[in-house]
Amino acid sequence: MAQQASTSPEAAQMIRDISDIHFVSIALIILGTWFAVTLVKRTLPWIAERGPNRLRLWLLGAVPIFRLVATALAVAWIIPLVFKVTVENFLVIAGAIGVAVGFAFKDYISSLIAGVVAQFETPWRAGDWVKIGSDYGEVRSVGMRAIKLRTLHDDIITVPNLKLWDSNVANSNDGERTLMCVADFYIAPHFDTQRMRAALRDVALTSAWLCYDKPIIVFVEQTEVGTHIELRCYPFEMRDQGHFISDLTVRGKEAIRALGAREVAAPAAAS
Amino acid sequence: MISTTPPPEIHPLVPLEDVDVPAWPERAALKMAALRIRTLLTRSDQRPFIAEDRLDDSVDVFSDMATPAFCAPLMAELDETLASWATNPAPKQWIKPLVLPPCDEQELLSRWANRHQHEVLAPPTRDALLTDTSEQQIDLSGDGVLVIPQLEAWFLRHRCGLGLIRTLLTTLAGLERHCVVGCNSWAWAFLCKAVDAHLILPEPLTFEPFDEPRLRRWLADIARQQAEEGTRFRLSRNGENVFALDRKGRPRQAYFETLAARSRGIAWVAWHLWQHSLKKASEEVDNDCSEDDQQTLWVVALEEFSLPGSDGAQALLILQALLIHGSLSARELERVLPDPGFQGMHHALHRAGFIGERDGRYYCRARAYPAIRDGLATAGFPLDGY
Repeated sequence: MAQQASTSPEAAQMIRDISDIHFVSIALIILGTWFAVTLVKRTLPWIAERGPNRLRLWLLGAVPIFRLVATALAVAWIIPLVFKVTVENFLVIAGAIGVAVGFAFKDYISSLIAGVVAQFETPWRAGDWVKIGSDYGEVRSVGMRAIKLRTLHDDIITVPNLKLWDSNVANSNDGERTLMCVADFYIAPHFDTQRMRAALRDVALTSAWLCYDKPIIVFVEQTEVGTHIELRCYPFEMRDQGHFISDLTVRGKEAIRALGAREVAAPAAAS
Repeated sequence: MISTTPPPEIHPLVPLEDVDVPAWPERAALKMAALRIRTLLTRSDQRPFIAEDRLDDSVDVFSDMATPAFCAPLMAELDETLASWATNPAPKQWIKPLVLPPCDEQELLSRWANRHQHEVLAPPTRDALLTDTSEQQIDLSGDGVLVIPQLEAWFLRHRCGLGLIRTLLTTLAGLERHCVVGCNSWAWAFLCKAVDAHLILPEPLTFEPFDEPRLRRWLADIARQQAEEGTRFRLSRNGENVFALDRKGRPRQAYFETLAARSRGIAWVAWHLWQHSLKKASEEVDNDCSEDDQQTLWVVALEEFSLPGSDGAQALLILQALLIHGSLSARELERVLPDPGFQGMHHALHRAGFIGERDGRYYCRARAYPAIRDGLATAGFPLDGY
């Protein structure tokens, strides 16, 4: 009881008197921050979709950074309005909040921290094409707790930032404006490999979606079911990857037939 | 003012890599930026692709002088560059690659070759490009200068359409004869990627971009030769003479500086934009038109047209294909485009004035080129080097 009595006045000293706390200011700060974040969250992606392609990734990437900075500023502004900030007070408050919240919202807090870490490690950025677990899609938005992916099938998938700790994240473009696309072909082994490579290279070279600045690779390997050829190349706009791969596949099949070769079933289907 | 403007100087061609397109005047750049932001903010996704375009609003008042007017000075520049080389029996470089800006509707290099009676190598039909050419030989032997005016006519962006251009380039690589090879800048960018054209045809030359003084002198010269005597060119915005200079000899109006920037210094694009911006006072509407007004041509401000970057993918693919190939028939267009379902779009583009049609072949119109290039750049398409 004596101990309790001695700590209560200390705790009371950490928090300002109710009459000294400017609740209106705090409310205005929270409201202003929320308004600014919402405005940026809506406006920048909207402009990014309509503006020049080269600015899109930059604009989308600015949203989470702005939110992080705005939130940090708001918290830094509000704390002195509520607490008497000293080193001792800070340690006591941080410890108490850490223990209480850590137990109650372990995963949530972990996701929030992962969200902050992701801002610096950048395993994904808004506009990137990533594969997390079995989900592949474009990062549409980066939130404090989770990111949203839009898949090639137009599904929206919400992935908690928590995945950063324990999942492999494959980023196909890593901030660049294009990514490698691969069209796979499995061909019965009796054909002229050199002519086939040249023909498939021409298929890529004559695609309307091709990015001129990146290389084209025709990769050939022998497998149990036949010769596996990967046509690897880059579209100039990564959102067109579905069109690009379809175009390569359709015209690649034509080229294979024109050379008198025969496609075989893929290994997975064969087994 | 036209009479006191000196005639244009002849500039020899310059290396393609040294091309520096004219910059926008500050005020026009700000105005254009503001307009683009306004367009971006007010653009609706439901808007029809072609509806806002107004390319066909104007009346051409100089149509009778269009064809030969801009060819002569450019021919002189070709002469200036090629005359001594063509008569040198042992030149350092047997082949002179020339990369021409796009939308050359007058086929300038063919005209130049015909004027000098040089041998012109006719391109094959586009159908012939799709046949197997592995055994085909191209005979380039002979005397005198050989001109291949449009390299873009020697390929089709199709998986079977690159064979003949490869054969041609291989033949050119060992050629010991004066040969001028012309290619439009969009085709050149594609061929450098597809068949490494730059390795066989190094250091291509091109026209030096027309900047403000050159453009003003050149258009004044044409007007002096072809407009009625005493014709005045006044800006509709403020009535000022568009050719007027201040005491220091600098232009009072930024019109030609803006025109040079908008046309990227391409002579024929600038000519078409200039021609498109000239209007006559209407007698029907304005009955008190004085005799003085009859000799005035009003220069309206250059309008900013734009293609949407996000919702016009089909149109942009068509325009890119036309720029790369120079011109294509509807059937050839289908062959080089990635997806079926393009049947209606080229008609819409034609109606809107972005593309023209001649002898069943579609081509990008010169006066729409700035808008087309901006649209392709905004959507991230690979661009030309001019």
